[in-house]
Amino acid sequence: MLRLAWRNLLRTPGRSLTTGGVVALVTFLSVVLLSFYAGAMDAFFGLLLERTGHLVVRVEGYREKQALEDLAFSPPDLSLPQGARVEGVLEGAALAIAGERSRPVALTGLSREGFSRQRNLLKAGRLPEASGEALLGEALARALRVGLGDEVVAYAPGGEGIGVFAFRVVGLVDLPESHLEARTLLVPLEDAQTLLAPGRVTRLEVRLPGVGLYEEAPLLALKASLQEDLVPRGLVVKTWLEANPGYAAILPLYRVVMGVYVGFFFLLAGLILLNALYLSLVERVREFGLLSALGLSGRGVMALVFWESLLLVGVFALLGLGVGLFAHLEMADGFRMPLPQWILEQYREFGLPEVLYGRLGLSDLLLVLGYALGVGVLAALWPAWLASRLEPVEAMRYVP
Amino acid sequence: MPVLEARGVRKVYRGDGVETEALRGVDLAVERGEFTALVGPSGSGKSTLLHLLAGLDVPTEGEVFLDGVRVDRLSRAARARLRLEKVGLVFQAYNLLPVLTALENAAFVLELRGVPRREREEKALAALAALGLKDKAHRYPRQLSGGEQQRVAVARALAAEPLVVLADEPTANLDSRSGLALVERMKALNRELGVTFLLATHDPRLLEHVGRIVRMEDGRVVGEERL
Repeated sequence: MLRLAWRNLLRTPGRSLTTGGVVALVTFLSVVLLSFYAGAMDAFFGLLLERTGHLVVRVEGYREKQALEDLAFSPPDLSLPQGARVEGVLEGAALAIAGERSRPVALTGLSREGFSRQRNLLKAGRLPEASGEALLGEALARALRVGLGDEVVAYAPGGEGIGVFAFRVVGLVDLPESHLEARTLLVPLEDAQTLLAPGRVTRLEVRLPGVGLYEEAPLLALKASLQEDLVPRGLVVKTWLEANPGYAAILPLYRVVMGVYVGFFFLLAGLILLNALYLSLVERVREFGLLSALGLSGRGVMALVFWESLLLVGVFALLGLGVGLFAHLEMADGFRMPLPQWILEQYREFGLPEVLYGRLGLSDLLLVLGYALGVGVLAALWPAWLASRLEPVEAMRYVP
Repeated sequence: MPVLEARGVRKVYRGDGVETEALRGVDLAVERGEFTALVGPSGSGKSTLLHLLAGLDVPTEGEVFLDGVRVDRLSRAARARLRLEKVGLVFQAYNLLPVLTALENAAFVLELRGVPRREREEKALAALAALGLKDKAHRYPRQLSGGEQQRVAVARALAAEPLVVLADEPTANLDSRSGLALVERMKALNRELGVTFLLATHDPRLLEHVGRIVRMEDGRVVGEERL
């Protein structure tokens, strides 16, 4: 039966090649799409992880609290695995004054490592290297009419700090959202603490080398052990995904959306396959009549049509998969997106890399092969049923 | 017990509001080893009767028996199974599967029965050899003449060692020499192997080779003679 199905496919090579070509193309595109989007997701979430840290320690209920004295805390000693790095961050409100101009700003005190992560946002100048140096959002610098080398005074009275601190502008940063850029003042952590809250931070970021992007188990285990000490002190620990719930919600949705995309591609391929199988049935009505007359059961006739469909889909899906895997391997080594410069600039502003690294999991391959198999079966269902219902005598008299 | 039997068989075709009575109460019994011809003009009901006896169709009224089994009461699948096991069929045209060689066509029914490859090829090759086609076993139908294609169809029927071979106008598309040669070979196989043959034909040249002639007209059996 398999041999008969195979030879039936070969008798109309043009049609088989065209139909199979569509299946191969859809399979190829699906593999490339899945690899590309996984790479893009990795880049996005990689950036998010880099900015957030694997674990974040904050004051409990920080989302509802506004005042710095409610949000700042003295960093406790954390019992962390070897190699783990902890960075403190202090965020607070201040007034930035330059000459006769002033603007309210969100002042952020960063460690040296924290500054190094701002490098790709740097539009002009350099990163701060010493006390009294600051980075300004480009829009803020424009509003204050200051440039590199100018002095900006941060004024934040009424707190535990000295309430006023003069900074030299050493760099300007370009942020994707201009309203943020107009309020951004980044200074060394120690300076921020002197100004706002000596010895205190509003957030601790814990970074764990060797933990994969989507590895949650080690984070949850460490979180659980840290919580024991921190909760009594009014602090909470969150994983980077918990700290960014809006983005975390994308992850499961992403898989569904990609599944729907790929399914849509295969739906189109299925319609073309159905058309080819139906044409083949119409052309071979007498042959199906003969098979039935010779004693092939209705089930046998259906099996023949299914085999033809599955062989066609199977061979060409494997071909598309092979070429798609080859393309994926190329993308996995780094893939520079062929996009216009102005789009790439937008990418850069968001901190996203121009080079993506394709990623493809076994589940992606199984998804594509599952769709191919499903399409092969579903497209054959109707023609196979029609073929099995043919009356042998009438079918053998049929004139196409 | 007859191998084939029709008792009071009527067959009415209905379509587009028109009823056509193809068979009007046919009684026929064919014994094992007979070589019988159903003769009559076009539209006399020969093919219809043959189809009913083969279980390709069911009668509107009456009973049809094949080797004692009441065919008209069987399901579609059971009739297909019965044909596969007991009936060899030869049609007027479009007998062969174009993508299979003569050998593969001749072995096809055996393949459907699940006979192992070596065994079925041996049987098919022997049947082709008996019909003078051994040297053309690996040719495709398009590479064979009309007469050769019909002989491959007979070889397919015989290779499966059926209880009965039913042939519907097997020589209609052949020239007289090829037609005669085919019937002579079928007759020889009937004599040597004892296979029962029932041919539907309106070719008078074939009648001197058969053992029994059943004459049909207007859907009825109107006469019978044994030779």
